[in-house]
Parts: sequence; structure tokens; C-alpha cells
Amino acid sequence: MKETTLASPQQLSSFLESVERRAFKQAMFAVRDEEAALDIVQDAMMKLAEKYGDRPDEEFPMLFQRILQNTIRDYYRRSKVRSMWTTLLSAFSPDDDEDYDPLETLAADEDDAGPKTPESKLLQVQTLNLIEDEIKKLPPRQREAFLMRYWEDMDVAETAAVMGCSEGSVKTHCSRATHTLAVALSAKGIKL
Amino acid sequence: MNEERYAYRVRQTLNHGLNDIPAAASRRLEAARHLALSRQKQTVSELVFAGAGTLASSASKVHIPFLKQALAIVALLLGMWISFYWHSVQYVTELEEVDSALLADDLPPEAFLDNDFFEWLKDDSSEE
Repeated sequence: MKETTLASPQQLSSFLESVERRAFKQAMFAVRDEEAALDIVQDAMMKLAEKYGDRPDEEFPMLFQRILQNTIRDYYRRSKVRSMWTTLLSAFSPDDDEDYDPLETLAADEDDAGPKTPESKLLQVQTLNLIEDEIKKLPPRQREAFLMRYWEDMDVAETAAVMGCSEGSVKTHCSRATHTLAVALSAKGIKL
Repeated sequence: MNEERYAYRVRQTLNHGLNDIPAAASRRLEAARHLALSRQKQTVSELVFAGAGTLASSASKVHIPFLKQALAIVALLLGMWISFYWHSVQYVTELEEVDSALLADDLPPEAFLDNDFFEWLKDDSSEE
């Protein structure tokens, strides 16, 4: 029977728990504002639960990604002018490398349970920051495709369905995003 | 450059970064999750209840409409029969009154002033 395949509250809970942090980061990459990113993730979660909470749990990843991307686009539409200013100002702001203070990171990490050696942790944080910065700089469609395809583990067809474009376009977006990231990170001395 | 291999490395680094999300943001995400779960669309239980209800109340819910229709038809037929019976009884009573008055030669004087009465008498006698 069809009813038996529908998701239980536990399945939805597990799914949301498994994606919420990545969703938050995705929203952060897109809107560059923590509060707005949290609002977007909350909206996306609510929409998924309210509208599609009774669907089979295997449909959740695609549905959630579609809702998340639409919510991000809605945010763009609502604050188009503000977003434009943010982009404009961020272009004039100094590189994070220059502002980066390792001591701050180390001090913050002291509270965390079991950091590795300070040097490796520092390197990891620096690398992460650089990667995240470069991901933020990617064109939105490339970033969407790259994150869905390689971070959310969606296949080309699923990504194309969520993005509303052809599979060929997804491949092109992913390829360009990866190439851009590799070139930018390599220029900053990061070899993955 | 192997695209997938490179993307996999990026993914690994990004996954490490998930542990460094600020505590306040984590709490907010958790709260958002609970809020969303409290509003989950629950067709499963509704379907179960609906199914159970159909089975349990099949005798009442399914047959009640037919029963109502049947009762309505019976009431209509009964009303029609009562109306027909009452009219026929009334008609027969009127005829009886006229016939008995004629037989008893007890017609009121107004009857003889009524032209229709004489017409009726003529028609009645011509038929015979």
C-alpha cells in the first residue's frame, strides 16, 4: 500500500537533522548573512514539513533542495537592492586573509572538545575559510549545481530537476565551478 | 585535474566546517527543526483513521444515505396516497350528499334556482 511508504515524524526529524547544517551553510554562501540564512533554513524546513511532510522520505532531499533554493531566490528578490550593495561593498573590503587572526580562532577553539594539534587545526580552519570564500564568489547557478551535486550527493538528473535546467547545463555548471575553485585556491597556495 | 576527486576534497573540508557552526546558530536550527516537525503534514494517520472509519462505520455511514432516500420516497408515496384518499373521500361524501338530497327530495330552494342544476339534470336524463 502507498500509505506505508510515507514518512513518519521520526524520519522527517532525522532528515532535517542530517541536512540542517549544510542547508545553513548553503544559505550563508548565498546570502552572506547569518540571521537571513537561519531564517531561510527555517522557512525551508517549515515548507517541507507543512506541504510535503506526508511524502515518502526518499523524496525529501530533492524537495528540500528545491524549496531551499527557491527560498534563497525569494530572499534575493525581496532584498535585491540590499544584496547588490552587499556585493558591491564586499568587493571593496580587504581580503579575509589580511584580517585573519589565528589567535582568535585558537582562542575560540579552546572550548571545543578535542582539537587536533594547533597547527593542523589552524591550517584546516584557514583552508575552510578560503574555500568557503571562494564558494561564495561563484556565480549562483554554478554554486547551486556544485553544492547539490557534490555536497548533497544528488545525481546529475536530480540536480537538473531541482534547478529546472538540462543535465548538460548541470555538468557545465559543476565543471566550471570546480575549475574556478581549483584555480582560485591554487592561486592562494591551497592544493587539495 | 580530476573534477570529481577535487570536488570530493572540497566536500571533505566543507564537512569539517559543519562542526564549527556557532552554538547559537545550532540552537536556532534545532528550534527550527522542532517547529517544523510540530507542523508536519500527517496524511498517514488521517488515512489510517479514514480507512478504519470506513470499515467500522460501513454499516452506518454507507447505508445511511440509502436509508434516507428510501425514507424520503416512502414519505412521498404515503403523502400522495393520503392526499388521494382524502380527496376521493371528500368527493364521494359530496356525491352522497347530493344523491341523498335528491332521493329524499330534500333539495334546498337555492338548488332549483341554479341553472347548472337543471343542465346537469338534463344531461343526466339524456344519457339514460
